[in-house]
Formats: sequence, structure tokens, C-alpha cells
Amino acid sequence: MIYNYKMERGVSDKNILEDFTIKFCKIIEKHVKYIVVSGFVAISHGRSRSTEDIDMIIERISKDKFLQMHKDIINGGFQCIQSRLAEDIFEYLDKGDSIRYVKKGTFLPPEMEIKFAKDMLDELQIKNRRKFPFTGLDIWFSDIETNIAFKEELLKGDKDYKDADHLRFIYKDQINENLINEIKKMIKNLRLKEKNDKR
Amino acid sequence: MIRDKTHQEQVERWANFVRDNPREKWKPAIDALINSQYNMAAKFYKNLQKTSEGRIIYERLKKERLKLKNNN
Repeated sequence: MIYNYKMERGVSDKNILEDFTIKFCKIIEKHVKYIVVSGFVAISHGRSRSTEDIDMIIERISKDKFLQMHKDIINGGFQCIQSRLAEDIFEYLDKGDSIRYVKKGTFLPPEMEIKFAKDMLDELQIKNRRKFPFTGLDIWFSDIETNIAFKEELLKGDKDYKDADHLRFIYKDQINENLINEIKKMIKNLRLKEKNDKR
Repeated sequence: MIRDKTHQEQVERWANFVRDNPREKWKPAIDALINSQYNMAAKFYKNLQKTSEGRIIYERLKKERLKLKNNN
């Protein structure tokens, strides 16, 4: 056996990152449809790296609905690092920026980075969200093909390519290459075009 | 971007190990790696608070990170 770490009896087999994410997602689930995307998808599939933030996309919701959700998040033991005023925090989201929550009483990662769905691509990801038994986590993720497409076409960092490769190896023979190519086309049209127009 | 071949091979080796072995074999290693990152950061910030110079740095880091407005 390569790894021989003993697990204590009765102690959770979840690591700090998973524990944080599970607790947070349970709260969000009561209010809005969400997906966890990017690095955490690869990490929860056994990729041997960590991360400071977990990326979450949620459906666009009204201010009132957000205020209720934010109240629950705070009561659940988290705090937003940008402001203590819920109305200010909603403004960030509404303008297309992300909001970040950490555990109450700290300013250290892990942190949950939340964004509203911003276009058809995000809405599609939420519509096709999946749970992956392989991860052992009761969390909604965007599908594997979309994660690979984003990492290979838009993010393109060294860790992103490695994450994409990891997912490709894990789901070897199950991955729909045509779907990845379709999503990459959408990324080019919706995201890269927007990025180039801003320059 | 030039991608290092040996890194690529290691990603493949590890992914195959994860895919072909039960969780009990690889999950504890991942948990230890991930937990150690957060524990090390927490330990560093705890140590910072032990000296007056460290406390100044700690407060500066905290202020920069928690961009709280004057609404306490």
C-alpha cells in the first residue's frame, strides 16, 4: 500500500476544504440553484493539490431573496470579507463581481467565491448540473466536459491544464469530445470575444 | 505555454492510481495534503501574533483582506 494514513474511528473522512464546502452548499441549496466549478471539481476527483477558493455560480436572484440567503449564511457561521452590509454585498453580485465568504472569526482561506450566472453558458451549466458519486460528496457540480473546456480554452494556467488532464484520465472513455468542442466554441463566442473587445 | 513532460506524466500516473484504486487507498493522502495547507497557514498567523512586530503585520494583513467598512 502506497499510503497508510490511519483514520480514527468515528472521525469524519472529509478534509477541511470538503467540510467547508459541504456546510456552505447546504445553506445555499435552500435558496437557489448552484454549481461548484473549476479547481474544486478536479480536487474532489482526487487531484493532488489544494486551493484557496472554491468557485460557485448561482442563478440570478432578487435582492430580497439574496438578503434572506445571506442571513442564513451568516447564521451558518460564515462572513463576507467585502462588507458586513448585505445590501452592499448584493451590489457586488448585481454588477457582475464575485462575493467571498470565509468562516466567521477568520480571514483565512478556504473561501467561497460566488458569482451570478452571467450568460447562456453559465445558465446551461446550472441546467445540466450533476452530482458525482465518485467524489463521495453531496454537492452539485457543473459537468466534466464543461470544466475541461473552460480549463483548456479560457483559463489555460499550468494548474488548469493539469486539472483538465486529471479529469480526462479519471473519465477516460466516458468523455464526450464533441460536447467539449461545442462548449469551447461557445467560450470563444461569449467569453473570449468579450475579453478581446474590452482590450 | 511549454508544458513539462515529467509533470504531465505524474498527473497521468496519479489520476490512474485514483481511478483504479479504492478511495481508502488515496483519499487519506489527499486529505493530509489539503489539511496541511490550511493548518500551516493558521499556524503561521498564530505565530505572528506572538510578537509585537508580528501583531502589526497580522493586523495589516487582516485589514487588507477584510475590507470592512465603518459599519461595526
